[in-house]
Amino acid sequence: MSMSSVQIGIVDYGMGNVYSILQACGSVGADARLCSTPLELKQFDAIILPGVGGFPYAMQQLRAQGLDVAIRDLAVAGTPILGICLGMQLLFRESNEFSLTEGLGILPGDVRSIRLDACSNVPIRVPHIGWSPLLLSEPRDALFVNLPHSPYMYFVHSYYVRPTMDSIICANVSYEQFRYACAVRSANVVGVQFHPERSGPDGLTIYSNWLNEIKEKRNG
Amino acid sequence: MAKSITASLDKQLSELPEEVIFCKRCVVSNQRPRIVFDEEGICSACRFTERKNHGIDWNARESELHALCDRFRRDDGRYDVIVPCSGGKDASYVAHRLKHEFGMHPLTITYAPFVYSDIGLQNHRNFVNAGFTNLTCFPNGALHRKLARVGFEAVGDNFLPFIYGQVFFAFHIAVQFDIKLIFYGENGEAEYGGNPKTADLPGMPLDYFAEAYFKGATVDDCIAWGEQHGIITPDDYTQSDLTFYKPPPLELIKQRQVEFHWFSYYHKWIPQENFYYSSEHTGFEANPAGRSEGTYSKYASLDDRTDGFHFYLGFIKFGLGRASSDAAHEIRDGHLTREEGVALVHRYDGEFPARHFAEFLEYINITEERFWEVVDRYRLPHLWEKKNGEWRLKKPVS
Amino acid sequence: MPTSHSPADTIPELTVHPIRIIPRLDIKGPNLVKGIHLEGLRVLGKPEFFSQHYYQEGADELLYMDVVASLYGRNNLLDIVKRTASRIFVPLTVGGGLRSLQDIQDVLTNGADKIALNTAAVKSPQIISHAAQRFGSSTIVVSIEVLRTAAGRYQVYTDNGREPTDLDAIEWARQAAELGAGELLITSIDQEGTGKGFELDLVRSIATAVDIPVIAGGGAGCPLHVQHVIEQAQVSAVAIASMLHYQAINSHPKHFDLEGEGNIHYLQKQLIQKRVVSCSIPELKKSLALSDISCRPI
Repeated sequence: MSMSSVQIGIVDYGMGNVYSILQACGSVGADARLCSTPLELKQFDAIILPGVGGFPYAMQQLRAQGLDVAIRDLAVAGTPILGICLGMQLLFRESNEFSLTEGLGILPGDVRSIRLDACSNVPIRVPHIGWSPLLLSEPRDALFVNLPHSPYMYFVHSYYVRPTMDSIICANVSYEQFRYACAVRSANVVGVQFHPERSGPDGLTIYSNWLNEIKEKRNG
Repeated sequence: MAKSITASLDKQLSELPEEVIFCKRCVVSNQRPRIVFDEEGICSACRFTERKNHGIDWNARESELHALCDRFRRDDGRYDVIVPCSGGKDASYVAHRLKHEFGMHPLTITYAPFVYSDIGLQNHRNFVNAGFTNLTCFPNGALHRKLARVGFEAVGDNFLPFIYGQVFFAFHIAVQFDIKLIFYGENGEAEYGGNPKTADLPGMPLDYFAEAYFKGATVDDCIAWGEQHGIITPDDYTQSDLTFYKPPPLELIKQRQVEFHWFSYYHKWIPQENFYYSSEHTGFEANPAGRSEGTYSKYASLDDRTDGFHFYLGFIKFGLGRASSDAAHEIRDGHLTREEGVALVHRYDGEFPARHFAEFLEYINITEERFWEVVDRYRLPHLWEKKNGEWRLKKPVS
Repeated sequence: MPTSHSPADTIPELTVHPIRIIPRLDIKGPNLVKGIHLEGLRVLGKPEFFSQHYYQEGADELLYMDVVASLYGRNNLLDIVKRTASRIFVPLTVGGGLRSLQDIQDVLTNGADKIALNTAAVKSPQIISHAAQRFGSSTIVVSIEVLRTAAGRYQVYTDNGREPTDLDAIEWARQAAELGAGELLITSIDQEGTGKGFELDLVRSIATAVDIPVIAGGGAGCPLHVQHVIEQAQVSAVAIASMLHYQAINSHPKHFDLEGEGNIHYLQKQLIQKRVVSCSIPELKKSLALSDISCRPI
């Protein structure tokens, strides 16, 4: 394979902090670009599905651009895909945000409200905003190599994913004693609830780890 | 010999240029009395600012201030300088620096506002509590409000009696306690655009002072006008009530060698830095009620609930309101761009001071109808036009 | 509920969510400014310098406020936001002069992670719910500027503390949360810039009235003030300006050229300010740790 830099497509469907993600990719040496059509999407080594906002509106946007089918196809074809925040949630089967909405269904499980599920004695403040230490699963996923024992990552969300298979969970987080999955992997598809591009140098290490994984796959 | 108190305003208004021209650098216009515009369209205040920033050797001026203080300082237990101070940011700054940096022994004096605002009173208290002796004069309230009405009706400025008192009270105290130095904050004629002949002077020479305050209309003329118009009756006052509206005899001032200086001559005058200084040293607080009506600022001229009307009438007479004067000064200081200043003037200038309207009407004892009659009388045809039943400035700043 | 199939139980779980330390950068034109009671905006330098400095020091987020945007009816922070977001990799909240969903979209597209609404939200509260639906609740911070009235009421102000409204701060906070705000930033105008400490009662009243995170702002003058507001007012984050800014200036006295617009008198003269104890982010976090307050480690 060529020594050219890794080409990353950032799915541009009008939702998400794509500028920050572009900068983070650039800072670890990846060549990232926005793409908004199924055709473009197929030209990249790997895909990032970003997302900030509401689940139903996001799915509507993806469908309107025909991107839902394209992303599913790429997942099946083995293209590395990274879902971030809402982008991770969209990978699952369904969400009950606002109204029950079908997701991309690439990963098994659903998306639920933190407020409704965290039956705590003390009222819990939602959204979960801020820096939380990850509870990494063993063995460590490749995303989390070269990081401290419990790296702090930046979270900002009101809904969380509930995978039906524990085996896909590669990190949990505990917010006000409510514990849930915050990083998942199923082969080439990974998702993180937190924002590595906003999590300082440790967050950038995650980008760099993912980039190495893509390179190995491409070269291997 | 009684003069009409309207004579000077009549002269001022009749001398306003027919064509309104705005300064190319700030937002003041040629309608401001006594301001001078040069051939490049720059006002005298902006020209003065150039010199403030580049032409004046402020270190030399500071040495002059040391020399001045050395000349007047007393270590025998007497006061050596009078600082007229309402508790506002500017005079608080002057008094504090004179006391703590220059080793002076200031007696601060206040000529009370018509109607003290809560924040004004609080700042006055904070200032005194920061370590200053203060004499405050509250003039005869019944007479004072009638004089304010005379000022409002006759010259479109309720501040008229306050201006007399504010200047002359200091001279009475100076003469009375044999204090030879009076320190004011800024030389308004230089800083804000006016008669440039005092711009390079450390203080007002006594002959200018005499010309300005002895030859012009006096409080006696105000009383006469008030009596003619049925506002004041002879029962309302005795001569003693008029003491502080008049200067002490000129001979006495000369004999006592009282000098009147501006701090702005000795130290570069930056009102915003005065705000910081007085916040840190004398407990000054910005207006908790937010910005003052008619402008964007929260820290200037806060102590009198009637001051909105003084500024509003300025807006009517000259088309220049409170936001214009605040913005013009901040543009000169480099704190605002001209574009920002223009936006602020468009947004706030001439905003009616509604918050204290009822109180003002009651204070000067006129009806709302009469108020608007007086206001509309001061709208000059070259400045104002009525469109769809609303008064508008013909040429706003742009 | 799934649990991890890992020895995660050996990792001590935090019982308290770490407090965020957020440097607040008030911006006017190209400059970082700082006032007292949100007034008298003194120029302290260029925001890019300070944001880089704070990122390296371990700031948990950054807050940019165009403090004159509403005043002038403009919004010209985009370039500064873009330059900042390309160099710092912590969240950036941007506020000041955002009046429409399009304004919000523009700021987010240029690198902001969250946006703060004040004046526009007070004028038409529905913008909160529209923005929350469009961009997600967690993106929408409602900024509330508050002044204590003589009668002890908490009154809401807009336009950077210049315009009074009829709103009661606690009521407005509740309403903003119901409309879908993800977070509230509370600024006490009485305390702002004075270094006299936070308005504890105000912040606590709001934090107990809502179940979204609350950021305390206005008044921090020393680490003890920060400790008090965290311990006594149930806040999730603290916004700090003067303490950090003056420290940043002291540590880099020649950090920018003294040209351009604004009141640069302070920088030219290197005046001493006495209102606050200046302090770096690591120093602050260290001091909080001594009081068992959890922060993200640096």
